[in-house]
Amino acid sequence: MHLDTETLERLLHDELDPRRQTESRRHLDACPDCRERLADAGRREARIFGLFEELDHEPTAARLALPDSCPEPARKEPAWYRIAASIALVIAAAGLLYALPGSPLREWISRPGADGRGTGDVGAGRSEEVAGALSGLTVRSDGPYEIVFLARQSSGRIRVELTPSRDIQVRVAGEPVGLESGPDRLVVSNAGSRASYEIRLPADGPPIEILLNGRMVFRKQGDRVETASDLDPSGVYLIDLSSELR
Amino acid sequence: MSRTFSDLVAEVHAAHSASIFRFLDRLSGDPDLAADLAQEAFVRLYRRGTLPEKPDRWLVTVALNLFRNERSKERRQRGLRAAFPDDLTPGAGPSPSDRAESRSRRAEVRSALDRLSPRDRELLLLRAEGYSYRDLADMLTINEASVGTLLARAKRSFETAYEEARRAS
Repeated sequence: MHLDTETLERLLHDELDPRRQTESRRHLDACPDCRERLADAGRREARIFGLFEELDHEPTAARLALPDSCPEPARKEPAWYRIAASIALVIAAAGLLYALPGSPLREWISRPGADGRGTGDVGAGRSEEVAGALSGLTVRSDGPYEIVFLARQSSGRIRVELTPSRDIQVRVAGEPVGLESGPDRLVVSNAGSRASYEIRLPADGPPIEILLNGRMVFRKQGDRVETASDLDPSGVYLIDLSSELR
Repeated sequence: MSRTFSDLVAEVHAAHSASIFRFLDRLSGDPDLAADLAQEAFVRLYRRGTLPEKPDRWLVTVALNLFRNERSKERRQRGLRAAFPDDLTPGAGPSPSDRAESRSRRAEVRSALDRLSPRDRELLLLRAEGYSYRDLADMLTINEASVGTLLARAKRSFETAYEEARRAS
């Protein structure tokens, strides 16, 4: 039986896995028809791609230049009053939620780490870090989500815990920072801050990444967690905001 | 010394801007539009504040969406381009007959590409830029397992359209 079109194209573009590549090469050795089809496919593609060059215009420096006045990255884009208003809104909402009788927020703040998964036996260091939590944000996402810390800090840590909840929760301890959430990302404007953070992520659900200064420092996809940070005995990942993490 | 985000974007720009411009230029037939779309994609990368895992793929996807949004305007401009093909600048270079032949071939290739479905056109042009099957599948939202078959079909369609364009001219 001859090689099918998909296999021929994949051979041409080196897109076969090693096992199928070996099998296909073996077939080619014994089949002059398929050898000719592969060579013909290569010739025809080279001709087509060569014809595309007829369309090319000179990629002049002006055409390829970065925009003269590149806008600053997202952290500086929102006006200061929008950040301030966001913080005030978050604090007001948190205060209201905290004041409600039987508030889950109050319970959460008083017992950090003591929710669903039964990881109430958090270490003393953790309690110190989150004591005096000032603000936070809870979002829910059905698709991939990013939590973006715009800058490294001179000190501070992120504690990441996986929980059975479907919510993504971010709490800030220490200094207030700007939190801006969108449908697929939460941006933490933390330049110059020394705050620490506690992040709770759904153990199940879509992939979630934490980025620090443009670099991925934590990724959760399905059951798999990818990070260079430490995992403490209570199952909390500790990300140092002052290190050069990959 | 650690690199700033602007440094990272500049590196991405140095590595990929020529390829992204070429792809958009071939796709649109309009180098000015291609340059504008490429620049806008980089502006959006700045605004994003972080580098995606595969910046070139992200940029192409953004630029493609921008191009699709521009498509109605592009259709209006296509008529103008046909009426006033570029390369009209006089001066040194190929002889008038060579230039005429080159213009004719360019018009035939343009015509053949324009006759393809958008997916076939984008697939061929992105493959010509060397994107992997996985990248193509992600960027064009197609099944990775059938990228080879779709590519073969697109190439056949292009050959047919090109021969028709040659006969017509």
